[in-house]
Amino acid sequence: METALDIQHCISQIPRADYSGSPISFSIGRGEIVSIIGPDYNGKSEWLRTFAGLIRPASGKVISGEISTDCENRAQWEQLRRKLAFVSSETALLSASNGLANVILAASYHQLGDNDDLRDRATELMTQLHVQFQADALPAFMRRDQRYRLALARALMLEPEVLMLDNPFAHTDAAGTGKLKQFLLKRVDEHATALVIMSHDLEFSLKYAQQILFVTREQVYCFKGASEFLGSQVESIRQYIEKPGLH
Amino acid sequence: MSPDQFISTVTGWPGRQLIQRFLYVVDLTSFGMLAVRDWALKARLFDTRSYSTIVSQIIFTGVDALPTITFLGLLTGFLFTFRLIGILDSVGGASDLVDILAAVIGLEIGPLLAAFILISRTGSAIVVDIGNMKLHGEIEGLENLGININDYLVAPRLIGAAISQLAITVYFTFITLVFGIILSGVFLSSAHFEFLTTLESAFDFQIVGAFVVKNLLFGYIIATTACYHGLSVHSSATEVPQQTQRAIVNSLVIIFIVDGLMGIALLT
Repeated sequence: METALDIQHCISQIPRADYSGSPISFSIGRGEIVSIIGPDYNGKSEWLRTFAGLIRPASGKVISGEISTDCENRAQWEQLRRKLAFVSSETALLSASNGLANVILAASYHQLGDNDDLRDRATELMTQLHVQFQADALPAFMRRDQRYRLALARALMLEPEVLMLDNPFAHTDAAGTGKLKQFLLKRVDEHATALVIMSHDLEFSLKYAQQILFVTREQVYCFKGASEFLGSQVESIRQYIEKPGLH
Repeated sequence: MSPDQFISTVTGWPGRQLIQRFLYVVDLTSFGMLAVRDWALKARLFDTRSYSTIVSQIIFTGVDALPTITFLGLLTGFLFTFRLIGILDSVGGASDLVDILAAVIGLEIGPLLAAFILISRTGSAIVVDIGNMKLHGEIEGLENLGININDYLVAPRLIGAAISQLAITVYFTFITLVFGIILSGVFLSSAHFEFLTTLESAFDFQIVGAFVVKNLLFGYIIATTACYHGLSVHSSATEVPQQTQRAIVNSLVIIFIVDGLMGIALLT
């Protein structure tokens, strides 16, 4: 399997003060799903942002293709950002542009096609994501889940190799979550996009993730799949799995 | 605080202020130049899609402001051109009148008043626009998609504002001069209507060149200062009005200094 992202001896910067574990190293292949789970407020988002190259790691390297996320070269940085898409539940759209304009904006900037072509691709993506709104509506007049799905469509217009999602099901109801999961799985399957997802949805992680990272403030545990994770005897993991009403 | 420390603090204050101002100007100049460099390096000059932001900026700054500029142009025509012709007429200086009108109204009052309009209208709007975008994470969202803010947000505003400043000053100066001359022709002496035909000769190559350079520079400075202060907003909504006020005051000061320096350059 072709490697999409290589994490080498990495420690995230934010939880450095409490972190007593070893640096983590692993690779993410194209079409692979990696899930980041763990108790709340333990730095999961910071680890995800580190993998996305948005936070410089305290130590180690994150490499996509030949490019390291700490590169200083502007052209390389733009190339990297096109490969590594990051969308969080707080990602903001451009408030002065309507939904469709927001979706084609980044692809248009990077000159990935003519306007008609980009418009068609954006419309198709929005249909797949079940985004329904008036074409000229500004983000301020949309629901949060609509805005999130548009931000996701905007990132996917760049055809990234790795899609990193921070808490993607935060603003969706049960039906919306189900549809979004189906969309993501289809995307991984059809486009061989690697998916790194930070979520509180343990069921999704156990069912679909090939790698599970369990993040605590002190340490990050890496597992190859659900059975290895469920067989872990680490106390914090046992507590997390068995905590009633959490999932 | 010991007396020595007190004296050192008081006497050091002007020096510190001067260094701060100097560093601010250096920072501002680098910011504007980097933005235009990034835009040029991305070959945006040949990409018609990049023109949309510039055109929007020109429409907002120039076209939408036309009613205000027309009204102010007519008032200025009365207050400055008409009054100036009246005063010069009474002291017998009418022979050089068109040259004086071109130098005073065309090269000084026109660009300065147009710059005031641009600062109060466009400059403040740019700071609030970019400041709010920064505050709401819109700019971070763009950067995460590999979009260079200098090239996408800043440079089109600088270029659009520079072009708009030149265009509105041409329009403003034309109205001011023509309306003032017509008023003086009606109320002072019908001979003054002749200025309408001789005025053209007063705008020689040097004056036209200085007029174009000055206005492009004014527009560029106003937009650079506004974008710089808009991007200086970090995390609090209260920073937006603070940065807007700083941008307006600093733009005014810089415009006056640049105008003075250009005046000296023209004299020498």
